Amino acid sequence: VTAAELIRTVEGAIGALEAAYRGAATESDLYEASLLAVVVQAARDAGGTVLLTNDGVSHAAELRFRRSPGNLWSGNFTYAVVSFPHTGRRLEAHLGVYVGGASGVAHECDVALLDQIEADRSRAGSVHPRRRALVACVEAKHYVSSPGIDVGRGFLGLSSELGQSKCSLGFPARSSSSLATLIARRPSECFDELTPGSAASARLRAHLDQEIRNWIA
Amino acid sequence: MDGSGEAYQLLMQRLAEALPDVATQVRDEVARGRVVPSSKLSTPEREERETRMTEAKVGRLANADVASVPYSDDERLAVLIDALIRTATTMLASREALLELASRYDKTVVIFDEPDETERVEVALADETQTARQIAETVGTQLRFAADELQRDT
Repeated sequence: VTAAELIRTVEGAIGALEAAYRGAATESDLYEASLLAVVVQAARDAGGTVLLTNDGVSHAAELRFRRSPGNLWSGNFTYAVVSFPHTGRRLEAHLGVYVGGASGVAHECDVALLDQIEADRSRAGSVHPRRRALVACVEAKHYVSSPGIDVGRGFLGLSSELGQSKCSLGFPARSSSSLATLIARRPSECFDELTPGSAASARLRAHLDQEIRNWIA
Repeated sequence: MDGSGEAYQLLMQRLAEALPDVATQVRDEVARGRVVPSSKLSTPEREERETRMTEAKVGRLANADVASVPYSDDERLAVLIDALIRTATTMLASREALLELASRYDKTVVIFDEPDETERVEVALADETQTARQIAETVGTQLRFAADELQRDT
């Protein structure tokens, strides 16, 4: 292939993408919400029955998600309530809510899986859910090119606040060896090349399935 | 490939106009280069560094040293092409997953909004998934072919 041919091909691809790409913010929103869908699948795998709701009781009249982090108790946003027959226990999966960390500071969880008792407490008291009731947290980074080590450092800071074994980092790009090595030494997990339906997505789903089963037990 | 340096420069300009966030990510990755333990440097890369260190009288490379190897022009192009393929793949996969979730509740639209409800964006998932699928197919086929050709030339 000549340089001129390659330029034509890549310019054509950029043009095609430009026509449908919604911009960084919305593509990132879509990516985060798609990982909520993966969490919901994992909850079903673990034997849960899922209700997507805006009020905790009825089916959501419209699916409405946060663009920026917010308080769990604020706004009419959609979340999933997961019921487990024979146990009476319930989980809630939220997108973009704050959770209180070890230092007493609240941190954003892109996707948070919480014990419903804690979510009810949060709504009643207008206080952030506490980290001890966090079952799992997915930090979504919409990186299509390998993220820098700063992303890993930020994630490790978050996971040390919220519970290292509960936190997973995911992004669509292939990880650099530095980032993979940094996180491989810790109890947290890194899922690179993560898009719904991918092999990494299946691994994340299985990981969350097990976390949920452990929580039920 | 002859002219790959110029091709990278030109395509990055075009990418920065069309998808600026993707261009920033590619630029950052290329600027970082490949970070490798010194033990994994190729022989010429290792010898070049050791010669410079000897001349500067600062000792030798140690196994614990971490080195950065700049991407070649062909590798830069490969990074750019890979980012475009992943953009297309992620656009499709995100929309498909959300459509599958929404369809269970007889919905085909999702709304994103700020917590203070000031920036509502509606995404018509059925239409956008179809568009994203077409783009992923054409872009994926063309770019994978280009990437393979580039790798063959390297």
